[in-house]
Amino acid sequence: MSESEPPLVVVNDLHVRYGKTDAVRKLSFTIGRGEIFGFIGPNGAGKTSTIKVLATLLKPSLGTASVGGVDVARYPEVVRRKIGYMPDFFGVYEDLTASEYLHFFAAAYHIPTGQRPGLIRDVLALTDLTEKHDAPVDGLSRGMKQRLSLARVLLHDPELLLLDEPASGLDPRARIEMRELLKELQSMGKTIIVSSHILHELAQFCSHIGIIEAGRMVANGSLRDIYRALSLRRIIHLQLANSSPELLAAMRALPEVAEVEEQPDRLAVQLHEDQSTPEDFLAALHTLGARVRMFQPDAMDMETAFMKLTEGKVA
Amino acid sequence: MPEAVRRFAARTVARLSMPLLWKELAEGAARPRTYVLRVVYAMALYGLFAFALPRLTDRRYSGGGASFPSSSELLGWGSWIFERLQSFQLWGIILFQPALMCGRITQEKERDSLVLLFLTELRPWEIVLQKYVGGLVPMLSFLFLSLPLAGVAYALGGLESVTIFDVALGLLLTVLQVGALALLFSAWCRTTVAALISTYFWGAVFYFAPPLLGRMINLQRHGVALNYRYASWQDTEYWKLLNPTDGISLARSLHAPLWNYLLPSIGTILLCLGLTRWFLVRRAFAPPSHFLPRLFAHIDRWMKSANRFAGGLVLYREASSLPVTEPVFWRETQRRVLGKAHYLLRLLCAIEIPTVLLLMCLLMVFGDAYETGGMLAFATAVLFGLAVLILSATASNSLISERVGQTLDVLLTTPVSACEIVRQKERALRRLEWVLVVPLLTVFATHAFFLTSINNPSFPRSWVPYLVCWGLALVIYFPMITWLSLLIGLWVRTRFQGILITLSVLIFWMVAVPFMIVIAAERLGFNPEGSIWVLMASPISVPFLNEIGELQRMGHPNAPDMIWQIIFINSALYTTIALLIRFCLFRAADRCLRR
Repeated sequence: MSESEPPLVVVNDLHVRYGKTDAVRKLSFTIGRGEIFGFIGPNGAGKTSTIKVLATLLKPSLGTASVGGVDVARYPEVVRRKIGYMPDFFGVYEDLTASEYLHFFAAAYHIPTGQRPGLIRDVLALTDLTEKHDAPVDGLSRGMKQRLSLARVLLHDPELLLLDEPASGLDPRARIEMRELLKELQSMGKTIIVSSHILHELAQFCSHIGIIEAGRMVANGSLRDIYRALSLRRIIHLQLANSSPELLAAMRALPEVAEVEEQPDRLAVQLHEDQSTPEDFLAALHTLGARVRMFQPDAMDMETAFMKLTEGKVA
Repeated sequence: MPEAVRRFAARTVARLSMPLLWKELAEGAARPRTYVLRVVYAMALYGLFAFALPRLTDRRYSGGGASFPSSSELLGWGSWIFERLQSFQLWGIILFQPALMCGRITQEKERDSLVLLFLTELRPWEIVLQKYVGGLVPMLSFLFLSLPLAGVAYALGGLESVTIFDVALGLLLTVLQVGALALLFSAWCRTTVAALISTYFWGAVFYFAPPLLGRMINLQRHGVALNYRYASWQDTEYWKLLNPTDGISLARSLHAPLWNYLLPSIGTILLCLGLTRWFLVRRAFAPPSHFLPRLFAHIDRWMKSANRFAGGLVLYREASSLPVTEPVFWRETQRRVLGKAHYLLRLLCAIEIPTVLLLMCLLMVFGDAYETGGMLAFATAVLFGLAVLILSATASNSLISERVGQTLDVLLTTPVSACEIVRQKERALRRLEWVLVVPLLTVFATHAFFLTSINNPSFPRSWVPYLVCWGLALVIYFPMITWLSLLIGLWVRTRFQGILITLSVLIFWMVAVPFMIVIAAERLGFNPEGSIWVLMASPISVPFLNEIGELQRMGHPNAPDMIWQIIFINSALYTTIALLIRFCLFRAADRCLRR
């Protein structure tokens, strides 16, 4: 997002109340165009409620939310043309075929009749469902249904995609396919809000992360910002061809290294994430004369950040 | 004590702890619905008792006595009161017990928890019996509500101890029988809604088919219809033995051993429980039956093969197979079984052809005007009830299915507004309305034709107001029922709730309200037949009076225009109410669907 361009999503002091329960409390964040915003939080934290407000399905009790400068509560019909919402359940009509399902929503989005066949062909190709064109939705696998839902979301070319747990319940292959698809959408310049529990997957493609607990945002920013704020240590697994006590001592003396643990087949180096990057650390190792056989930064620190920031409270 | 005996004793104690029954009762006790139902039932029971008392003596009633009978006047009427209580309780069992029992096993299937029960040490028989007892307890608690009233009846005298025993036994066996039947369908069906509908349908067949069959056999045996009335009454009573209360009545009237006459009803209870045990495991993971789509697909195949003889004749071709502007209407009319035009046409044939045949039989078999008029009224009642049932269930399910199928949220994020969704659903239901109107019009036309052929100088009836009254009623009431059912469908979250609430509201409005008005009229001392304007509080009052000829009697001979006034005022009233319901429906659509 350029500095001059206004953010696509602006949520300001959002409050959502169900009866006596406050699901979301004074939530504020912004998302720039083309960003992928990972929404993380324990069950009942308020992620789905926030996404539903942006999807015009819930009216905020207090505060405002806008998409592309349009208030979701005041002009929901305008916002609906800008968004594509994929819930955490399938939401598919099982008595239709895949193409009929997409034609149904193309009509719902008032897409001109002449454009529909080509458009449907394109979204089916993008989601790798071309050969399921005439297959009944009832007979599709869970992963295929999720991809069909994603195809449906893309029909009217929305600016913002709201994906609530898109990988929930999918097998590893389907999850990887979904992740690749989201990366492709990112490269197409879509702005995406995605909630998930699979933290390391989010870490791989989200440009920004929001961690929510008990209806409140506890951390918001880029992954690097969050790690830095928490002073988190990244673990790097190392195998050196010329390991020696002197080399280990020199490594421990590096300012970005917090700790070096000797394991039977490798070294586990804890790196201060806020002081250095793995790439800089690798360069430092070469400077020390180390011959690196294996260099594997641990990607699981997102979970550490999550555990550190949250206490398991629900709204 | 030997170890084996100790283990056996421990196992027996563990089995007798009945964890499933305990869970059922605890769940029931935690549900507010249990107490609401109990209060409603008690209010109806005690209200009926309070209002029915003035009608104890025909003398008081015909004399227009409004005051409550004195204690001395009530003496000796205990038996009469007791019989009324029994009738009320019987209807209560028939209406409530299926609803209380049919979800016992299907809910476990819907929650995927039945398999967990199979994995425990509970045997299938234990599951069946504990579920059965759990489902009987609420209804038995309803029956116990009448104990104070029974006490009053006993204190008033005229009630023999054998009558008390017979009534208690009859009610208990009816509860057991209806409960066993409902539990059987709970084990057979996949969903609670299917179990509820199956129980009511097959229950009606179970209780009414044998007496009807007996009638037909008697007719055949005695040759001519007129002799039927003079046939020995036991000939027909034997066909009612599946009903325990009829079995007890017959045994008492013949001074025969009671239990011999109860064997059929007790046998059916045991049979139902045995079948429940049989189906519990075999139907635990039954796939969706898709009964209607499969049936229609089968008919499609059959008709295509039969069409070869007609040279592949196509009378009706479906329009575009893809949606253009109204996706919801398209799906409802192109992909739903009860929306497709050619399927609806077949449904129409399936109702219309038997109706026509039945009407022809009626006109031929029943020779006198009284019997024929009665049977035509009966056919009207059955068809009208069926039409209301199909229409209300389909309409309320129309919106609930979007909620249950989790497609509503997705649909609501499109530019199609909630009002528009409801409007398209409502438009799609009009086809079904017309399909249901046709058989009813056939019956009314037959009745009108019958009215032209009879000549009763003491009570002349014209077919014109008869047909106009029913025509207007159908044109106004069917959309009204659709809108009301859709409105209820907006509020509730499950199909079971939707059907139950819709039917309860309609039954209350159409049946209970006029019944209460009549009782209240008697209690307040005015003639209910003179209070036609009050009776209009129920939509069914005017058509009912029209069907039985009372409407013409009111207008004849002093106020010949009265009948037209009643018809048009009733039509205007219900048009207003229908439009009001429609207004509320569209006004509430956005708020309710986006909950």
